[in-house]
Amino acid sequence: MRSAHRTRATALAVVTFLLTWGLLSTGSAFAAVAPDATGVGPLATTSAEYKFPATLDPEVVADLPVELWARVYRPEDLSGGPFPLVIFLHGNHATCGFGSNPRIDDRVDYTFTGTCPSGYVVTPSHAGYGYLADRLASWGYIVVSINANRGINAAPVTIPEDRGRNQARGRLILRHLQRLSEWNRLGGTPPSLGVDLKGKLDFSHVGLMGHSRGGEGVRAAYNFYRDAGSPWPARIGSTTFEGIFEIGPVDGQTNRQFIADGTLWNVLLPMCDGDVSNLQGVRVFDRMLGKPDAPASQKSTYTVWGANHNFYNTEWQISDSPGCFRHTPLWTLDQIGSADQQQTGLASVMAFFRGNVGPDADERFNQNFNPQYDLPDVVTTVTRVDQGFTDSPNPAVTKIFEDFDKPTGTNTYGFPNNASNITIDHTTVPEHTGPDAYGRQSVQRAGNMSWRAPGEDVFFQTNWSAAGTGQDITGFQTLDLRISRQPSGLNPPDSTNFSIRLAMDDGTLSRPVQLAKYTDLTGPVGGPYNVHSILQAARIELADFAGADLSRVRGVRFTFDDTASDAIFLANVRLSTLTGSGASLGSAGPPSARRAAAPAAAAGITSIVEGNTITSLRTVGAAEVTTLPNVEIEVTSTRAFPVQNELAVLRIGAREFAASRYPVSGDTHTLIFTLPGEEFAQATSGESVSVQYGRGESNLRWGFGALDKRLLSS
Amino acid sequence: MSGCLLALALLAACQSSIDSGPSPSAAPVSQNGNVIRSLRSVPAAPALGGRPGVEIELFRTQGFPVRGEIPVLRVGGREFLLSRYPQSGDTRSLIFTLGVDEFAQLKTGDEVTVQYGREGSGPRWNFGRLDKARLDR
Repeated sequence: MRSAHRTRATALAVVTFLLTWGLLSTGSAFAAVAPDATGVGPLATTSAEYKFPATLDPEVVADLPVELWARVYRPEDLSGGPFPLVIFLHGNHATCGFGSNPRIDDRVDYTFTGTCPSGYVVTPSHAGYGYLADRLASWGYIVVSINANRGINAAPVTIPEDRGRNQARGRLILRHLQRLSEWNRLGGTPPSLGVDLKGKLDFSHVGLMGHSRGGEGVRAAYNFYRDAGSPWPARIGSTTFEGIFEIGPVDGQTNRQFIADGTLWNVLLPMCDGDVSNLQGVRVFDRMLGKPDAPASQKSTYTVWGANHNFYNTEWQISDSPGCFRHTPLWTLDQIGSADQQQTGLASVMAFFRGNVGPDADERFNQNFNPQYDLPDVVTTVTRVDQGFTDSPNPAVTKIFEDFDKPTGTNTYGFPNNASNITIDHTTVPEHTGPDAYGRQSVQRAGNMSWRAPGEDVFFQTNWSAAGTGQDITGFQTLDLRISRQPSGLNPPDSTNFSIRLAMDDGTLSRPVQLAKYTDLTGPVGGPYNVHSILQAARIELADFAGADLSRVRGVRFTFDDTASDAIFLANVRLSTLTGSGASLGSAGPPSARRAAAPAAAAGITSIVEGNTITSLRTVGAAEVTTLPNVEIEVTSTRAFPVQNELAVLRIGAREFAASRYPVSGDTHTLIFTLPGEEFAQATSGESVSVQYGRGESNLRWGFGALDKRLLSS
Repeated sequence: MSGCLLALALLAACQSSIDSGPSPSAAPVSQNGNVIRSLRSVPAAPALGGRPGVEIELFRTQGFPVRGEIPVLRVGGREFLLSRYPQSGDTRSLIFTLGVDEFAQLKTGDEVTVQYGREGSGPRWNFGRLDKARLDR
């Protein structure tokens, strides 16, 4: 059985010993441990601020002046570079405070006037993530942490389409990116930063982190940049957002519901959040499960037991939460902040950005978000974290087996399910379901099941085909499911366990696997006001289902044969083509770390030259005075461009371009690359054009012949 | 400032691992120090795009903290989300703006509360009952 937090390190040590002496098979119930990303990097760091006078900027927000103010954390020596860029944005908070240890932030004068009354100081909310930003800088990142006090934080809830001003927060981020891009391309870095940023910022490797309303804000920025006809690409230039990390975000405080399709995304949910106390950030994950996602990108949830809302920001010095339900808080009120809680933030934020953002990103750090791996000691010695995960909702990566979206008794595909000696209904999950600030209802469907006595004849079986028929799932690697315990008198004192089997077309069953091998199902615990039945993921390798014939699978059977009684939610039973995500291709990761969707590596270089066409070259977006319009190059091939975690890269001569998308039709035989106008201008007709995955040398290339710039049309 | 210190003391008193009973403590409903300060007509409310409206100004000794969740005024069964702190910057006051038609549908005697977020899973502060006769007095 997978052990919980504090016991895991000990358990792993024992298993390592036993494996060393050949006493256990590699089929052990214990998972590999994700790497710890929190170490201090090799670079000395420094930080400084830029701050411009407030102006009325209607493109950010129309009713109050805003200012461009941020602290920049960076390696001291910028002689190398360019460096990947990470933007941080805090959440809604009072803008003036008094006293110290703790400072009490209880006025909002600065929002309106840019000053605080006598005895008060400006609340430096943007400086509260220094413990994260400085550590990232030590690994070669430039982190810009934005202050949104003026005109946004604590400002009137009066904009009909943007009640939380989170669209404004998104546009504020884009305005900062515009300035940073100008300094990067043209010069003009403010002297206060003490360094010239020209050529030092790598806009092909950008990450975003937002806390609370800043979470919805970073999602807004990402979406505004990608919108059809958006003015921001022309202002900022080509930008690749490689990942978004949110902490305790709000969701639905604007008239537009944002998701983070097409990029890696994680949400950290503080289990004892006393502000966003319904953990509504999980609904972003839920919503994305039903949306296209191109390019396919990992999504995850990371629910931290004992954490509150405020203490991920060291400048928010008073707890928002009076306590936790049925578990221990990571803070006490005689402390200002919580080092333990910050450690969980450090572990997850560092893993996310070091795993995904930058040319040297090591995606093994993504194992920290994949429940196929145990978390490192830096987390488990502090608290427990429940994980939710999907490799991607992209149908080329995951396939729905059962979403409980049909009436009780019926599978997603319309075929009858089986239930024996349990109660079940298809319903919604509290916390995952509820209204947002516009009354829009989030809905997460699940099977609501309970049993009162265990046995072989106590089961639920979902069937995705008619009796006597099955489907071939040999192209898949894992069976993924989401599960949580309901608050119920049927909950056992210990973790819940039961058997899971695959059912074949002829009614035969595979040998069982045990849920407890894949997740530790306990709780539910909660925050100060709510029990949280947050769904956590279990990922079962299909190879673990001994005796299964994967070419003719009809159903999945859950036999409640171990735990005496319980009441659970079961949701989103899906198949994934990927497993062990987080281990680099060809790396010495665990044996299971392989990728079915990746093209097979061949000895030497394989060039695909037949059936490839440059379909069009076209200018897009309105250019500003100082920039040329971007250019889209659309390429097609009879051999599809597979969806994979590695970025597709267009090479023209020696230049590489990684901003791409599939067409909205979803056809993966076509890829559209977006090039900054200035860079396209430097390319010359006759240079060779090719597509590959990843930068530099690649074993597999699609050749498209020579560039002919005369094809350019507007 | 004293209000904030009182809030701190209250928080300290209840901060703990809540481990009794089948569910967390019910969110508290309080009325001490909570006042409906005024009801006033505004001929052109910015929050309503310049249309006429009614502003309900509430005062809470312990303040309305600035949070991620949006403050929600509930009167009877209705919810109102348009709010602002006064230009003075004092977070002990919070002003909600209602359309004239919305205010007309409210009844004297309706209970007035404030919570954060529409689901209202956190604390809810009670401000007594609405007296529509106080409009513009």
